[in-house]
Amino acid sequence: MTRTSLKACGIRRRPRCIASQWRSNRSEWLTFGAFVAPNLVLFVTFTYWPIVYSLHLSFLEWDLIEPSAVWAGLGNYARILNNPQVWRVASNTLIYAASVVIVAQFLAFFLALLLNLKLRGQTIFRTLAFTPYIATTAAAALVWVLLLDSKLGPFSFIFARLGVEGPQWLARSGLALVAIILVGIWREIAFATVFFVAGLQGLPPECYEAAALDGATRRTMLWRLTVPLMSPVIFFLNVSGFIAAIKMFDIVAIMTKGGPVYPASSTYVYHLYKLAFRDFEAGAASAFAVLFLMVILVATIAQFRAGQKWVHYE
Amino acid sequence: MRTLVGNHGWATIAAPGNTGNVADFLVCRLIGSIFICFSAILSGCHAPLSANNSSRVEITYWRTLTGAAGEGQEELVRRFNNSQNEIHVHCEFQGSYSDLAAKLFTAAAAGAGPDVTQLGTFEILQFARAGLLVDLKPYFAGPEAINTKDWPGTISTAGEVEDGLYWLPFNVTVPVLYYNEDAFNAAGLLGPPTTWDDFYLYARKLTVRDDNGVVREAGVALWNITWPLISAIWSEGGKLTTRDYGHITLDDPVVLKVMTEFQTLVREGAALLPDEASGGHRAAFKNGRAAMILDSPAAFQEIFAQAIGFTPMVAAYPAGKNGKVYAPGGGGLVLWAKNPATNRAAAWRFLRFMLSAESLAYYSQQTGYAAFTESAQQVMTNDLKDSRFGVIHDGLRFVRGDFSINMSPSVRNAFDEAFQKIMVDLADVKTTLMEADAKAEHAIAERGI
Repeated sequence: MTRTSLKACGIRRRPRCIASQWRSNRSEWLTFGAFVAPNLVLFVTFTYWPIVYSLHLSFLEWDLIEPSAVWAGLGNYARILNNPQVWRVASNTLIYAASVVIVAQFLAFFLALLLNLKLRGQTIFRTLAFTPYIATTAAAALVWVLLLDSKLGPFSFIFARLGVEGPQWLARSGLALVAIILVGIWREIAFATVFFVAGLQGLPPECYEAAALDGATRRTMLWRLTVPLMSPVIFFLNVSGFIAAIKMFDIVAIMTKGGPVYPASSTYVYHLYKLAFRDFEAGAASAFAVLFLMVILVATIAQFRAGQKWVHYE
Repeated sequence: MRTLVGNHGWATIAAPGNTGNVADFLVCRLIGSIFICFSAILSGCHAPLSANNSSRVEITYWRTLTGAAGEGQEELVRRFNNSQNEIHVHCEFQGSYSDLAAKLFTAAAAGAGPDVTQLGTFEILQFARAGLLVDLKPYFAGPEAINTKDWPGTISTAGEVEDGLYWLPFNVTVPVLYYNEDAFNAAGLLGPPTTWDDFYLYARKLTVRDDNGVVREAGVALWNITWPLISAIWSEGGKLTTRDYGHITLDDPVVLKVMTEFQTLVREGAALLPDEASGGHRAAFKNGRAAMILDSPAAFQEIFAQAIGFTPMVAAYPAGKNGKVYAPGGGGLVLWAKNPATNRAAAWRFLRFMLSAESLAYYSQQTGYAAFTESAQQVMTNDLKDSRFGVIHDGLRFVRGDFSINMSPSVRNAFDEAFQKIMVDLADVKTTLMEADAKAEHAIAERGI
């Protein structure tokens, strides 16, 4: 292709080298650099450097305070993967994430369908539905601790009426994770509902008119029209909800601290925190963090791959 | 470019053809601003704390504890600052004991930290071995030494690591038993249990059930940490570890017996183990859901101020076959080695003030922590006429200054984990303790502590 034809196509020829590009656009480059630099410096210092340093630490046997570190190679990774506690933590995290994402989105979708109906006072209902997400997690978790109290909570009152002792949600290994999942679902429903309501309001009415003319029932329209059209929203909530769920820390820290028998209700990030700031094992904690990054990366890629098959953007 | 700068008086240089100048000007301003910001930040990091008097030494004290126990320390710092002009102490609250330890840990990694800090017992060994704590022994040989002759039992040895002394007790506790006097009267019990056998018996007698057999009030609410049980084990003649961790005995027959007794109480419903988020054992006691708790004097003010609808009392911890042997608790004070040595003399003077008879007596009066020296007890002679204070201070005679269980993360974690499995999951006691013992020994062999 000649230079003339390139011009005709609106394509500028690429300068021969960066140096000549720099010479011709020096002032623009400087302006660009000046505006980008503050953000870049902060980003590199506080985001990328810690990641790189964490990767470095993961190969060391060090608690950060001993005068010297010992090279451990993949020792920290091996120790983590051979620790049964870690596998319990991983399974807890997966159970939590799957339960919260699936149950909350399912419930939120139907709640959004209700909130999308043209009723009086709907704005109030929508506000109420979103309130749990506005509440600070710490405060919400504390309220849930009181609600679930086996002697003083409202549920215990019902059990007392039945003549049985209410379950000790947070003091029993088998129930603590369930209690945490309940709180997680309660919060996630609020968040997902807002997106579903917004998504439902943006659906093209002509599709429904056409479907109605074709004799489609409400149920058919819901499964064949609404759900496919809402698939981008569902996909977004799946990805963001899953990442948020496996990063969950505050509910565990406030309600159970991973107990009552550690790690009965511990999740990935809480265990990471415990390793780093309770057990002071910086090397192992860094290795755990690197593995966590991998897990999120793989899970997100898998979700995007899977999403290509069922998400419709048009 | 014109639209960007036109309203700022730079329109003349922003004319076409002058864009390079504007860009250079902007770059210079931005770089200058960034430089000034970083300079300010860096100078802020290294500048000494503001001093009104140029000859005055400024030191920092990190503390933990809230409520009366926190305010008491703030007041002591105020008194110290008002008592002289050479040293000014900045008191900074750093959260719970574990939060404080985590902050010290990160400060150490950054080569910073306070001059003096309160410190629990868990980190003494690790911090001392890492060179983060100042060896205090030389100060005891100096002209401004602290007289430890009237310190009780072996408490002065509690902060010893190898050949050094790195930690001095400040807010000292001994285990005590709080009980609901009304519940005792209702159960026909005339006074608190004096032996562990009585304790188990009383816990059963104090348990109240409704017509359906559901426990309405338990005999005892247990703390979900192992500290209260260590005194029970020691006083019954049991051992958990040697101070050098050469011999771990978490599966000692006495440990097995004590843990089995407590687990049986839990199985029978006579003991409950409430979750900490709901307020734990203290809330259960204050709300009348349990008739006894094994706790420390740190809870003294809280319990006597907040008990709902009954008369709380405090009693001495029960005795075992070996009499009374108490594991001390609470926190102490250390000098942080990461800070300039020039501040050490000032830090030591502050530490001496905090451990003076008057300071310890004041702190004890405010909080319920023990004024552990005889001279401090003389200062508060009138307070000790109150039998509740008397019980706490009488217990000091039986303190064994040994934090070895706390100091080793391997032993501590293994024992805590075993305790939780036994009390919460009702796991087999013998098997669990044997596993814990093996786990602790393995971890000690691997990591040293």
